Amino acid sequence: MDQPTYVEEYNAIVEVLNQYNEGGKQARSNIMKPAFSERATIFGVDTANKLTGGPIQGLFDTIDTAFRPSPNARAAIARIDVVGTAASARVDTDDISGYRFTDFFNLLKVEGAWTVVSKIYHTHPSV
Amino acid sequence: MAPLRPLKGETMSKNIKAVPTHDYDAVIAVAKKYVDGLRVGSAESVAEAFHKDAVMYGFTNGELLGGPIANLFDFVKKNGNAPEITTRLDVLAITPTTAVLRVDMEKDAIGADYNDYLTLIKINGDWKVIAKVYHQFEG
Repeated sequence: MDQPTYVEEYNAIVEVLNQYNEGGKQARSNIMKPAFSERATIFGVDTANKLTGGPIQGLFDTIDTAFRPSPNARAAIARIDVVGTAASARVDTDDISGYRFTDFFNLLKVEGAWTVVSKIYHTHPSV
Repeated sequence: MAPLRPLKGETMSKNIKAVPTHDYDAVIAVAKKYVDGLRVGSAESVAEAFHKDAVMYGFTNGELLGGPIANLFDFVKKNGNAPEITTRLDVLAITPTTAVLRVDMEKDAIGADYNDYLTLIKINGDWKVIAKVYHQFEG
């Protein structure tokens, strides 16, 4: 692990995050599910600045019931920071079911595979 | 040559700084409670940085440690203070309600080195760590 480059890790994390982006775009949680640890959590604040979230199943339920397919959704993986078996990523998304989000993900490499263990999000004012 | 000003329709009203400078200071102050708590070996001080529902994931000595942040408090209670700890705190990203910090750390209570990524949420005006993921380096 001396002086590592992160070509492999970065590309593997991009693949994981693309599953998330595609699942959101199609409003189908089964596409994004493989990106997440079964024990992952999702948190954000609501319009009253109160914490909202919990187990990642809450995201899957929202995607399947409250989101609509958004063929015009655009997502950018704006940053990935890797150190050994831990990573942090930022994904910005526009025009997804009428929303704009910035997501911050925590990832862990478990048994050779990167998996999201935590997601937090900020909802931007819609344009 | 075209004048350097916004095109029509690109209103200047959006060109407002979204995150106040004091929010950067506030998230660093929260992370400092965590590392200062590690230094003196106070699980209570460490706990002040985290929301009660926070989670922590990583490998310690090759073993996957994942779940409630109480695992961290138990670690501090078990291993005590870290008088030689050194840390560097950087804000990697911030929005009006969320932030990511990287903690570069050497010589914790068991003499190990780490990088942490802390994600924080601003709840009712107060920043709290909601999730931590870490990498422990080999000694």
